[in-house]
Amino acid sequence: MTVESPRLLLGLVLLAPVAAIQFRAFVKGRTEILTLGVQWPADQVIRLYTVKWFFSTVAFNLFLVFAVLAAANITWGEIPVEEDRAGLDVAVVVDVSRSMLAADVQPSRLVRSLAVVRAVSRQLPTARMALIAFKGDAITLMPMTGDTNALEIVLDGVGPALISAPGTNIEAGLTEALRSFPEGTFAHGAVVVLSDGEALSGQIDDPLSELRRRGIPAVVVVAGTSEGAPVPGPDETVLIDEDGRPVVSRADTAYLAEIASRSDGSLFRLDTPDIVSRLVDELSGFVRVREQEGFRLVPHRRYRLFLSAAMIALLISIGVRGIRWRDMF
Amino acid sequence: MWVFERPALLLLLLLIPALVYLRHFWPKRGGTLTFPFGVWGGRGFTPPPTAMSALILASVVLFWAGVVILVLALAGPQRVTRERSFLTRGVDIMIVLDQSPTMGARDFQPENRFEAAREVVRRFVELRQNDPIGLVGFGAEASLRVPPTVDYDYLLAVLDEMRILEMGDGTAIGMGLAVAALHLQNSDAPRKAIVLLTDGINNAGEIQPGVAARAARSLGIEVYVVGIGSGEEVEIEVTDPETGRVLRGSVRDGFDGDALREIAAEGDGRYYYAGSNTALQAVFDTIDTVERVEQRSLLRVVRDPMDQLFVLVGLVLILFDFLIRRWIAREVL
Repeated sequence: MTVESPRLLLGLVLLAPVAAIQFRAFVKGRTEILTLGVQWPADQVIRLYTVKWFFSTVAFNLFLVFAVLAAANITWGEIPVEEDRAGLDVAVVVDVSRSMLAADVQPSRLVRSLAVVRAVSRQLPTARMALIAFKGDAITLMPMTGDTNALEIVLDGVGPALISAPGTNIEAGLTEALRSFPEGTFAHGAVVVLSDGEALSGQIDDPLSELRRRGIPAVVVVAGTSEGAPVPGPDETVLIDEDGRPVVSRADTAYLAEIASRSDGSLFRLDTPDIVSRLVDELSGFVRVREQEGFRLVPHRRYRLFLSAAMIALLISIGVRGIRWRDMF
Repeated sequence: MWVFERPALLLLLLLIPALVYLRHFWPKRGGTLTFPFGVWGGRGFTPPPTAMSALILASVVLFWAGVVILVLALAGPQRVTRERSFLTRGVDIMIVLDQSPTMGARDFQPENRFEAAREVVRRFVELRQNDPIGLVGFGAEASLRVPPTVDYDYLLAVLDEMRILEMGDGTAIGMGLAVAALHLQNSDAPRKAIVLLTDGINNAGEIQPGVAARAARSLGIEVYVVGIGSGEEVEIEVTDPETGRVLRGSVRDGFDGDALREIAAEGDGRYYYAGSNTALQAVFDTIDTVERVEQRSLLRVVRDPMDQLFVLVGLVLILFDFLIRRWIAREVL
């Protein structure tokens, strides 16, 4: 089961103020019934009122819960959709934050990442590629092109100085990658992300939903090790923190694994000896499978189930309030 | 265009008038305690309209609007668009644009030769579909600005950023042609073309224009040479992109049509002279017509589900109704 828009689940916190308002109304209602209730049997009316309040409140709150779950777009299972495409477009998204200069992967995470990109492009000569660098912001260094010479030139100039905005905004990188796939292309698409995953920021829900919707998997390469390495400073020393200790950057696999999993992609490690052939196999393999089968599997969205439950709960809430019980209330 | 995935569910909308009646107009509806307010058998009274009653009326409208929108969401609203996918490859075209100081000559509208050239290139790009187009700029040196791509937004953004003099003070036509040919050499496009836009005084670079044109031809690349400018004395105004200084003067030998014709001849290409904005546009229209290949395309129907938006809007409207009734109007049930 996957929640496509997990941020919307925060809507469930609305239940607390809604319940508080409902309880305040209940207390007030009891008081008013007792005040006005001279001509009615007060205990019966209060009992009826309490029962009606309870069921209508529960039903209304269930409506809220189910409606929020419907909006959050929960999926499970898969359904096939026709996929009549050929060829491959790859958007390569490279993290150029300073931590990518750490040398726990030799000669450095960034240099090794760029070498892998170069090698993969040589082994996929018919694929078109785009190159996006991201740090606090993202820029397209090369639009989607089949010109491998251009990629070689652009890769030579990739480094942390390309982008001044500090940080590691993966959302900007993925959004720019999505933009780089040209309209009207007949090719399959894939995104290759190379990052150490450290201190990634940005909301990835929207770009990941879009990737999934368009059938573009994110193949994520973790650059770095869990042991980590000091981050080089601008003057060939190492960066030091406020306590005077070297800043050590460690690869954070969890967030990157989530990106791979939620886009139906896969996860690799940069320090794997045969990383290039694995990436090439992964990219060409998924194209081959889709072209052979002629369809791809997409997540089965279950919003209708939750929305139906929400509507029934709302109907019960209205009914409990609207139908007179015992000809009294 | 909008469609519904399961339109039969829209029949649920027919239940709404009955629900409205039961909730608001049915004399025996519950949730209220009724008691006489006047003499038995006399007429009741209608409370005068107030801001509160208007607010409650508004909340009723919001609630039922929310319910309608949720029913629409249940039916699966989808925005349908048609997307054209090209099954064949178009023509690979490299635009080679002169950024030398003489392109600042003010014999073209609205500003100078460079701006006029930029404008026709922009129009040319906007008219193409599925043809990878690249951009090379040259002055004293030459550099690839955009590799052949169908990402025209990116291409046009880079074109807008190009400035006279940013590639140095000089005119390395041969280098510009060579860079363009280098980036087309591995292309498997059915046709490949270079469109050189210059005023033609080659005075820099290590590769002679004729040699570069011949090399392009040997790679199966069609070379179009477009001469822009006139041989008359003309005012020139250029802003140095590094210092921001404005340089003014006049130039007499700012155009060399014979040299350009020679380049075209060496590469067995075609030479066009554009002495005015209109002529320049006509030249590009001609190239646009000539450099076409038959393309096969496929129209796809793309469906974007919009139910999430509908659910959120419906939910918000119903919450507004709840807040108005329970928080402002202080209803107890």
